[in-house]
Amino acid sequence: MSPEQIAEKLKKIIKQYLEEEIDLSKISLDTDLINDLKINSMHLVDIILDLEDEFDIEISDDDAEQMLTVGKSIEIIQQQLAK
Amino acid sequence: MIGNDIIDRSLAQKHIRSQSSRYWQKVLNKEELIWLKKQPDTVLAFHMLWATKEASYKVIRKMGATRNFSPKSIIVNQLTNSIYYDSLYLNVQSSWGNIFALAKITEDSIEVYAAQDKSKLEAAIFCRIKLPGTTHSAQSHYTRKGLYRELRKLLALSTEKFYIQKENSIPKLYISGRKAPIDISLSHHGNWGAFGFAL
Repeated sequence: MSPEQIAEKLKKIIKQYLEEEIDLSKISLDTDLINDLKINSMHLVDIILDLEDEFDIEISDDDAEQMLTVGKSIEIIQQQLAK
Repeated sequence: MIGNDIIDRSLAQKHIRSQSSRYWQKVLNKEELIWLKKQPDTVLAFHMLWATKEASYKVIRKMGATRNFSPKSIIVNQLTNSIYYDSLYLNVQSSWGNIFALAKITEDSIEVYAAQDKSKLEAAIFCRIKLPGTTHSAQSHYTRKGLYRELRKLLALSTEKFYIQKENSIPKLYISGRKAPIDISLSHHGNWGAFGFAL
């Protein structure tokens, strides 16, 4: 799966947890889930669980620890899919 | 250095997924899980643990910890058998040293305040406010306003302009353009905002 396809799926998941209207077409790899998208930290766990279900992967605690940006999240999903 | 967190209990109740074992396993250590499963009100108990970890994380970030998402690396120790208390002191362990925390539980919210030790926690001032807005920006705005109001009163600064700027994701208070030597911490969730400061 290409990084673009992963990004599209990730955006759909993130959208469910946005508390305010944010144009997701403008997000970049550096977009920070908490600081930029204002996602509540409890919803970070929801996003991790949704990603595990969507991609049929397991995200370890070490990987989850780094998933604060869109780019890092895509990278970790890619790594897991390649296993 | 201080940290705080607040949970709106009505929102916590509605967050069904955080009542699942799968969710807990992403957040809690073995000992915390064992304790949680014994609790009669697991929604309250889980969110108290979460808020304690969040408040403690804010303290260790100020101590120099790198920004990350690692709730399991902050361990809530010496949990008592039950949490039928209005206030509960908690001992928290982290790779940056121990943190002392106080949880205040009411019908509406769970507030947790944390500091490096008990004396620092007791020297700080913490407040909870009911928020008029429910969007993230409104919650943040009114929580900050609440903090400025308390500080204006306490410091007798009626005309100075207060604002907050984040440095490396840590909020810093500015008064009339100058960084103030006041340690602050803010949190909001749903209908509730909370803030603390240490002079």
